[in-house]
Amino acid sequence: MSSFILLASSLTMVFAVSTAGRGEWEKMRLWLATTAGLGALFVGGQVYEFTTFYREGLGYTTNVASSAFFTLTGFHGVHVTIGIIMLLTTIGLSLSGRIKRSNAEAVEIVGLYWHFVDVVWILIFTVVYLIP
Amino acid sequence: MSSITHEQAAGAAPHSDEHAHSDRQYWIVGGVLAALTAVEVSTYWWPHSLHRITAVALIVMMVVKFSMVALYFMHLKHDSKLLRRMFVAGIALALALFIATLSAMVFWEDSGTNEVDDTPRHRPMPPKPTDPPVPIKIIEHHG
Repeated sequence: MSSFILLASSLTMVFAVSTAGRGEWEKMRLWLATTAGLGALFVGGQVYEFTTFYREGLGYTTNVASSAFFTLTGFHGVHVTIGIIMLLTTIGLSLSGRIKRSNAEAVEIVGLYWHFVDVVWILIFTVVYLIP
Repeated sequence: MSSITHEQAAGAAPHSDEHAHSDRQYWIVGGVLAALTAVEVSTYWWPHSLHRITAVALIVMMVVKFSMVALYFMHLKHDSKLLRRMFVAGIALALALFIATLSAMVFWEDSGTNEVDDTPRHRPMPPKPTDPPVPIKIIEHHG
């Protein structure tokens, strides 16, 4: 489910960049807010997963696999959280009128960061969760 | 990596047909990514006897998904060669590091098994500290 959420957030992010390129600031803010919301949902799911594992006895130092799992997914979660802060900051800057056509590439830079977080999750999801 | 062109940044109104086209393309890419993710998740129920094929299929799908996000969402497809090469160089470096690390964890010996063999390897051991030192034989050269 987390993968679908993060992929959907990448899609909403490209629409945010697309609308920023057209100067449709209202729509851009809506897409950015949707992206941030999906990111928050992803981080919430991760917190729930970590809590469940911990209650079932799988801690950070239980074994090598658990250490690798918590480090990889935990660092990714931190990156997503930083991305959410960047998205919310961009919305704030736009509301205060500080994002214009002349500096609309700022939205694209935030978008690149967000997509990079997504491609890293594509790797983690396969390597950590799926490969038998 | 720039979908916002200089003309757009300067305030020129782009063609709405172009935007409709790119937006449609984004929806298609998003749909393909969702479908691939669904297939990936379905591998959880594939027979265990197919675990090697499953692993290969998962890696192929991972590479396709990665490439699609990089090419279309990150606009690498329409970018300059230099940026594309920089991106590929980063991936190559990460991949080399990943393979080197797995090799260090005896990846090649245990490939295809679910358990990692943690038994000590049969390596020649150094002599015990209590053993007398081995006398060094000096070879004398005559002539």
